Amino acid sequence: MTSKKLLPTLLLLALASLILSLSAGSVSIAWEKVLYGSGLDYEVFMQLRLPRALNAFTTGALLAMSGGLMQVMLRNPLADPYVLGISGGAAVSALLAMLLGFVSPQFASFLGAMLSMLLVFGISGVAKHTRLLLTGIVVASGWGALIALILSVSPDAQLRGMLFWLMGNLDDSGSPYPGLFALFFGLLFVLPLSRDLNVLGRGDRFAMSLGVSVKTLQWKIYFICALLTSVAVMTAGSVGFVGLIVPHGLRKMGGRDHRILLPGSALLGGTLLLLADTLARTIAAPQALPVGAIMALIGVPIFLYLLARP
Amino acid sequence: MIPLLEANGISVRIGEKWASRDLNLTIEKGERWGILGINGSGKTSLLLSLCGLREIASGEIRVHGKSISAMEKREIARVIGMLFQDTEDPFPSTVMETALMGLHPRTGPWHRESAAEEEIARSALHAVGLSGMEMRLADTLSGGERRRLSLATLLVQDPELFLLDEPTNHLDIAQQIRILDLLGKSGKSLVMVLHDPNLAERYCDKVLMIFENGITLAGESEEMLNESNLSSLYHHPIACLESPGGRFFYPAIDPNQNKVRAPSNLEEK
Repeated sequence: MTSKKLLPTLLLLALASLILSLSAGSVSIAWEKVLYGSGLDYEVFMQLRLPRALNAFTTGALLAMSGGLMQVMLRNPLADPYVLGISGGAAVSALLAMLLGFVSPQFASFLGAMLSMLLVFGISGVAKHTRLLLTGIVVASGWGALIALILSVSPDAQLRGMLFWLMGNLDDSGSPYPGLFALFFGLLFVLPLSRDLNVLGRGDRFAMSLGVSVKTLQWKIYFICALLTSVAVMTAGSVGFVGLIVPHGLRKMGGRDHRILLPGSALLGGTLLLLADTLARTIAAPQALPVGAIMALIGVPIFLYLLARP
Repeated sequence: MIPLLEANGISVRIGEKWASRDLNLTIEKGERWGILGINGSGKTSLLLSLCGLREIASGEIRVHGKSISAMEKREIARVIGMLFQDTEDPFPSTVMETALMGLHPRTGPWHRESAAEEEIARSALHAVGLSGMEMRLADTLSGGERRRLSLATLLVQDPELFLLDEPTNHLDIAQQIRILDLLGKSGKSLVMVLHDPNLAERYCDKVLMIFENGITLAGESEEMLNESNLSSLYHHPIACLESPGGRFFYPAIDPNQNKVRAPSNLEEK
């Protein structure tokens, strides 16, 4: 596919998946009643399906954009917000909030993600890529150990909720506005940086020799990744894989230029998580499955297929 | 007349060592400089310092009379371009996309490359012998082709001064001559780190030699390039052969060991 056709195709895919997600569910809704603007169908649509679909889309979009940004900053296709220990920090905070009940798990996870990023970047500094990646992996392991400890001392009544949070869950995702605002302002913030990011991909010194203020750019990426990931984690808990596979897949499809890669990641990441959530809500309805697990089940074959392509 | 670049008493430190101490250097428009020195003497560090990518311990660098530390990075990049020994390529772009990156210092965040700019990139790729490879991914190129692609990017950047860190790396003999001819005839100011004094003799008007611990010697290449200076520089006797085509420098070989022979077990095979 040529890079010019990529964004319109992804936009069409996103719209199709949104329509599919809004139509599918354990209760069928009549569209004419929704359009009429009142009644049970309208309430189901406005109170449940639309916010959830928007939350799924924005979470996937934010995570995929963060992954794309982290990968170019570290020049490592393995980098994503989760590998760097951000979800771990969010998970520990959210689980502690569930256990102790002093603050909502969503808000706690936002703070945890921000704190974890501060910790990782504070220890390693943004400019030292290998050190940053290693620090992230080590910090993530530390968070993993704390999660195991918290789960082992938590009462049985809370364990199920905790496990669902850890596997990514959009059941209690709340208002879609934080995600929509983060996505809108995130795109507005990163799109003017795209050409700098293209150059940064060939090395810090190469970018500097072409007039890029690399340190300023790295701090901007760090700041926006922290914000986007924190909002995503706050909305849907721990959803892995999107940030890793989406930018990688887009590059394989010809979206190497960050002017295409970043909005493309938002569209494809959003579409994938929306489809994963639609499946999670419907395949075992009325029971909803954890979206993170479904996402990984969809993502693994797609990723392997993309890797196998020449 | 204000020179293109002035280094006034600059000292460049690499850990405990010095790449230069109190170096004074003036690069005029169109001058071609060669930097010679043994491995690890600090040639690359000096080159990076000259374009503001590496801090200097003392002294001042001025570009068109303006202190480099007071200049915006893009402003520097419009005057000075740098060819690095290596570049990273974890997410390779196409040959055309890579060449177009040279436009970066002259374009804004929302710029879209025009047909005319693509034509400039095509011409640069043609000049380095990469025509027809525009749509190939950079990681499918050979080492020499990648080197020429980096040069094409620099040609698209079109700075007034080219700082070239070992421009002949990975290039076969014919390509070395082709590329240095191209650069030499471009009319641009050049500062090249070279390992072959014969290329410095052929393509440089002036030579800077970096000896141990930051001691430097600079001057006209005709005067600087001689057996004595080169032998001191490389800690090895360098001989000169005068020929109708010019001088040719070569490392003197121990007369008792005329030819380095392959190990006997290989010869048997």
